[in-house]
Amino acid sequence: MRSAQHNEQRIECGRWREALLERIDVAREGRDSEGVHGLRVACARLDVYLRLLGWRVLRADLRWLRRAASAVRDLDVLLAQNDTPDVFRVALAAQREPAREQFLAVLAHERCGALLDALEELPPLTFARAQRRSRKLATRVALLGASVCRPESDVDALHALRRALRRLRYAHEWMNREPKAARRLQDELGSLNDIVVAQRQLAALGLGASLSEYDSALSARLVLHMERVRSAWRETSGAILGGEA
Amino acid sequence: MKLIIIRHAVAADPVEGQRDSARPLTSAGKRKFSGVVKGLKRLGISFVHVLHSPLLRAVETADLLSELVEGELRSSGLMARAPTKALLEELSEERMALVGHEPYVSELVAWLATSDRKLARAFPFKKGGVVVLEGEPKPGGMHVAALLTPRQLRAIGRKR
Repeated sequence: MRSAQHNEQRIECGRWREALLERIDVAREGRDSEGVHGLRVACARLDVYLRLLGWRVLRADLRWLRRAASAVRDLDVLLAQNDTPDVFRVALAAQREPAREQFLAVLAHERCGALLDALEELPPLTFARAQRRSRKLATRVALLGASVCRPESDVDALHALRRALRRLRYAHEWMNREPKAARRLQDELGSLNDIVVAQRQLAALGLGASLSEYDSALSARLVLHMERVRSAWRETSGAILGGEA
Repeated sequence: MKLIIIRHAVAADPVEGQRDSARPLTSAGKRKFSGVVKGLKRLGISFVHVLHSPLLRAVETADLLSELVEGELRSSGLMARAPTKALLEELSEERMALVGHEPYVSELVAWLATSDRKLARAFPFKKGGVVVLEGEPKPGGMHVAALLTPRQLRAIGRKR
């Protein structure tokens, strides 16, 4: 049983606010595409910190910033893949500059500055509170995990699990736990998401018919990956939940 | 549109070396403002969006309002300074709440209701106080539909 002193131990979010600031600088300069990814990760971690605090405020701001970064990042991921057909690649590349301009406009917006100011003053979190809230996140992961194992479950259920698992993993990280099992499952879910993003972009650009072979290959990979995720869930769920849910 | 302007709840006094922006609400401030929220709920007041100052006391006040918010709570530095046209341009939704500080919230009410910011003293806000404006969000384009003190709202919230 954890001691009262341990439960009162304070968790501070300063390091991830600093990380967000650094990654905003890197993303703004555009010299390293990982800066955009890092910015998204910092936003997601801070979102979980707010959830652990039990706050709703500032989360829409983080979501707004994260969404603008995702528009650029999703294109970068697809452009970096070797099997992306040339026609698709050209169409994606044409979208990247407008997406980046929109992202830079978000970074320059006064809402972004206000968010960073507000994050600077976030109060610390006690370990006990974080643990209580983390149990709720674990319950959600358990429910969603059980649902994806049902034969009728679809890709939306897997997305919901991906988001819930990410939150639980970050909650564990805030509490200095090593989330190896969660990371493995999250990697599988991340690969699945890459396929879905490719399919959505293909459809949005109206290229599904002209690149039908590639589209079919994506569909086949999706089915395969859905099975891999279900299998990974069965293997890792015990370690991930660890009696928490 | 209906615009609900709210001054942040009671915050802790400044501590030496502490930034003004870091002053949190007191426990009593949170408790009392939760009573204000109950009063607003009882009056059937809800918001599509909330625009709040990034100072901690306003952020915490906005969070306490969150059960009345259908859409998003948004940070805005425009709520931490004297009202400007840029702020008025943000007022696009049908029902919006703004959470800020004195003297700016009084100035904003004076500006919207009379077009003269110098009349701010005619619209004093208690901490946790609420003013409801209706009309077009332009200088002189709105009228004061209600001016509610936190005590009144807590009393409304307590009534069965």
